[in-house]
Amino acid sequence: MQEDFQLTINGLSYRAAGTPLKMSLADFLKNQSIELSDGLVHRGHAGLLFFLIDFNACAGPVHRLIKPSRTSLISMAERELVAIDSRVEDPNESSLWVKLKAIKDSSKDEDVSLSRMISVGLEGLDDGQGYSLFSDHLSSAIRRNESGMKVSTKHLLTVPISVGRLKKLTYKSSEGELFYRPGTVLEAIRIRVLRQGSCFVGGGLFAEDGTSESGEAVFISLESIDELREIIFEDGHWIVGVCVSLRSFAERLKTKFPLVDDFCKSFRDTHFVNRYTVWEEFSSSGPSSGILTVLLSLGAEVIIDGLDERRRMSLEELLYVETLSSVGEQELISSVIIPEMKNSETITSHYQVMEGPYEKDSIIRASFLVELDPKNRVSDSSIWFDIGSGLPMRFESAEKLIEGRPWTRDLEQQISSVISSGDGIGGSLGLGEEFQKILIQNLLLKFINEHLGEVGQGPSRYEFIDLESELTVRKNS
Amino acid sequence: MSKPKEKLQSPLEMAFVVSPFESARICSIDFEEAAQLDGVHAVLTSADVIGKNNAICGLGDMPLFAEEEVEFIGNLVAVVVAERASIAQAAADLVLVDYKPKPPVLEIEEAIKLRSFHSDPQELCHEGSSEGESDELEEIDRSFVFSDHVCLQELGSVEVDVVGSGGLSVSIDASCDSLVLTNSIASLVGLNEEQVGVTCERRIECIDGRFSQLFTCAGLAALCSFKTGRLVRFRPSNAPKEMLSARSGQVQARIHLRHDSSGKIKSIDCKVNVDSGSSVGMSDSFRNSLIRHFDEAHSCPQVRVSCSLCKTNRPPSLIGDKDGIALGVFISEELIAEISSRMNGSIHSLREINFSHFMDDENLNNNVLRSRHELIKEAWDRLIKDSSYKKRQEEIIQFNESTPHYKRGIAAVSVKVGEGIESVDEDESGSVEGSRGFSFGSAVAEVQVDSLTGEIFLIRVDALQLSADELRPDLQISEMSASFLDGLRNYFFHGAGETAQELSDSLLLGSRAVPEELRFDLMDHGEKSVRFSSSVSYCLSVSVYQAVRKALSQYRKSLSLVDLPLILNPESVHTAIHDRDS
Repeated sequence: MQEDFQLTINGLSYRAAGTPLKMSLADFLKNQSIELSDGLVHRGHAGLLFFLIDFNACAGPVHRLIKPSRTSLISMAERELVAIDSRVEDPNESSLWVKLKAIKDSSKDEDVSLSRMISVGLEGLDDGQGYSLFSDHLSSAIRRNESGMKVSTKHLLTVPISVGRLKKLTYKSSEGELFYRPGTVLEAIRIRVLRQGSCFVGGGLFAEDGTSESGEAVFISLESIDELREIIFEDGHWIVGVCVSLRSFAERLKTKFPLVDDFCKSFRDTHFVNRYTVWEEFSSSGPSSGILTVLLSLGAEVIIDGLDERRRMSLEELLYVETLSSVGEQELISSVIIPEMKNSETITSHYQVMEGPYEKDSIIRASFLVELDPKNRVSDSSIWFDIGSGLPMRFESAEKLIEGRPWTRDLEQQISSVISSGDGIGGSLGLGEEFQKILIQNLLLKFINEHLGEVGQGPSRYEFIDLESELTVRKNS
Repeated sequence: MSKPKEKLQSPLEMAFVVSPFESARICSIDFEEAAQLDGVHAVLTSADVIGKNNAICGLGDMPLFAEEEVEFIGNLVAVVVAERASIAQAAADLVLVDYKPKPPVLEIEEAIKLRSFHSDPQELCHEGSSEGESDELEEIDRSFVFSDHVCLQELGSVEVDVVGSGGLSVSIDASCDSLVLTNSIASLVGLNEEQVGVTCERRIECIDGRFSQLFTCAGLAALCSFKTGRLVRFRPSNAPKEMLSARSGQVQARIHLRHDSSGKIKSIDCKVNVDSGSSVGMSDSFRNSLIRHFDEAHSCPQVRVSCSLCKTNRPPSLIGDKDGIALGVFISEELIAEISSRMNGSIHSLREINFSHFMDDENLNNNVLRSRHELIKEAWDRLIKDSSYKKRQEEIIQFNESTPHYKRGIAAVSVKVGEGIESVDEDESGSVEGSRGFSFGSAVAEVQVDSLTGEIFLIRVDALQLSADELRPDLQISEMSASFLDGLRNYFFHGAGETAQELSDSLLLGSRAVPEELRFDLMDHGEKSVRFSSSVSYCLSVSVYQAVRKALSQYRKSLSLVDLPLILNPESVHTAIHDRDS
């Protein structure tokens, strides 16, 4: 057991000793007055972009953008980070405006639309920094785009050598909290059994806020268990470890499942996507990405590991028959299994309606999956709604409504005339009951329309920003 | 590892005693027990303020401590300074305040009824002659309510230490205007400005409501440090939520307007009531800029504007001059839109005959004015051309016809802000000094509304502003974008009850609030009197609102003017689409 650990930023090691578990990386940098910027403009993390050198579900190296104020210091133990000061103050800089105009004029190359650059620039803003840095990031994002991202190339494509060192590290904080990093699932469960009141944590330690009030806090990090961070294809099934980040999940599977592709469109917060995992969806009541509705529609199963046995059951059964709380003290949901999409006669869509453009949490999520028989009739369907409170709900009345009907343009008419009950969708979103009901019906209509009618696509916007691609913005069409 | 070389004196922490009542008389404050607690260095109340009991000195009026009465929930009564935050909090819990509650005034209507105002209403009155036109005049009566909402605050921790011969050194972990803060602190603790040094993360020359909470906190920390002679730290997490809640204050406006058959406005009568809260705060400057807007923007012969600041038992409102212009522009655009919907006239031609900055300058013999009018015209034309407004307008008509579930709307809006006017009252009609500065900008916004979900997508925004020579173009551009998004958030998309940090956070990261395409343009010109002002881009966000309204009117073709609520969320938009009968 040790009381300190190291983390590496831009190749320099920093030792953290006697810090509370929940201290954020930002606080650490600030308290220790660590200067990472040459410009001497910043103290701590202000104005810097931080990337964690990590590996993805295929063990390939990636650089994940993180928010220092939302990242626990301990979860950065023995990890390597890159910090980039995007504000290079250059007095000789010729008028940026001229350049901006040039970019604008040459915007045939759609990759550099200004809003894209702004969103890159905005990435660097952190909690509480306000808009003041907006300008700087905007300028720098533009500069970076122009210079073809010359920053810190030496850190690119490094192998995450630190991974090996992560294992079996146990850390004791100044406040007596314990932080374990087991290397296998069995080890993790053993620690859980041995240490009373301990709890598992996934990628972001902050998600566990308020779980243990008593002084004896024991956290078991699942992050360093290799098998939980893998996605494997086996016997017609995709097996997704629960500590796979949402980003890896989406990037790996979006070409395999159109529903996952749709799901990507809802990503707002890069930090969330980078640091949060499927596991958090099961275990925390915090922010949710809506991945459960997708998994439910895809007919996913879960594997629950125990000390001496392994259970496998459908996700639906786990959520509604067994309920999550029945996963025992000595058990851990270790992976999710998604059956491969076989025939092409499967039609899917995933929607998220946001409360407003500034919201990150949606007010409703819906996943639709419809299977057609050779006669183009609906043979099976799986329609799930998540209205933000509690578990997703199956919209069985709608499934019944379309079952056996021919998948043709008339369907919308038929549905519109029949639909009115909205059975099975209760709960309250703080929205008007009426609006909620209409919204659910409308989403069904939207789904049918999008696939059968000629509804134009709404603007789709999702792009992953990652150092992996050298911070240029990839546009997925 | 960079550890501090020697353990310096650790900062003292503060805890706050705030009012649980909306309105109450303070009969007594007993802090003897609290002061005797081990580790407590001082308990301060209004009696300990050496200088002026005003947190935003020079900007308006916002008392730091409650004196004889508390006037809103969260009104600061006392502050405890102690070795550690936990001790300070324990001591604050021991402070006994004897309140005698009084019935509070909470709403504008109540305040008007009880004649609870901060000052006499300020009025602007141009009574030109209507030149005997026999034309029958149309009348429009409209009421606007700008709801009260949480303002974005930038709060960071503050550390204050005593240096040298009784001076103060203040270090702030956020952006602020250090110069103004210096003056404010100096006046609070009764020092000279030279004796107060302020360093902040980044200096911005921008005073608006969102910084006043920071001023309060910094002022308090300074006072505590001055009194104890020690390093004192303020951390937002230690302050009670009620104390930090910042609100914009509700504004109600009633407009009575008359226009002739060509759409030319003949008279405007505008009565505005602002819920300023317990003290005037910065709402005085709100009032000035709102009145100034009506004075400058509308060319009609009769303009009457009166604005009252209502005194209620709520925290001081943080609206400032930027909001005054924004609401003024919003109201003007709404009026033009309403006239246009009644007459089926083009909005822009209505603007041309009603807004003084677009007016034909035949009757102007002032060269300066004429060149400005030409400049404005040129800027407007350039934006319309660059944004291919007309072409897109046609494309949108086709799009709307072919897609039943999505509708698009496009709107162009212009904003002119006059600057450097101290007082509106003394203005003599007709004579305009050549040296007076102004700024102008215009924006074209295109949106798409999904009728099935009520969601709004910002497709493209083009904005153009006149540039100022003395500022770097990149700064102006970034200022434009930030202010534009800020205006959007504040007036059209805000979510109620969110903390400032969540708000600023959610603006980031590819949020849909950032349009798919966002283009900003600056126009160079030879005009000396043009100043760049972020207020202009702030107000230009009204273009998005107007574009949404145009998109909605496609769903409800029977009505060309859709009654659209100020808050644009799926539910309100959905209601606006489907609420055919109202």
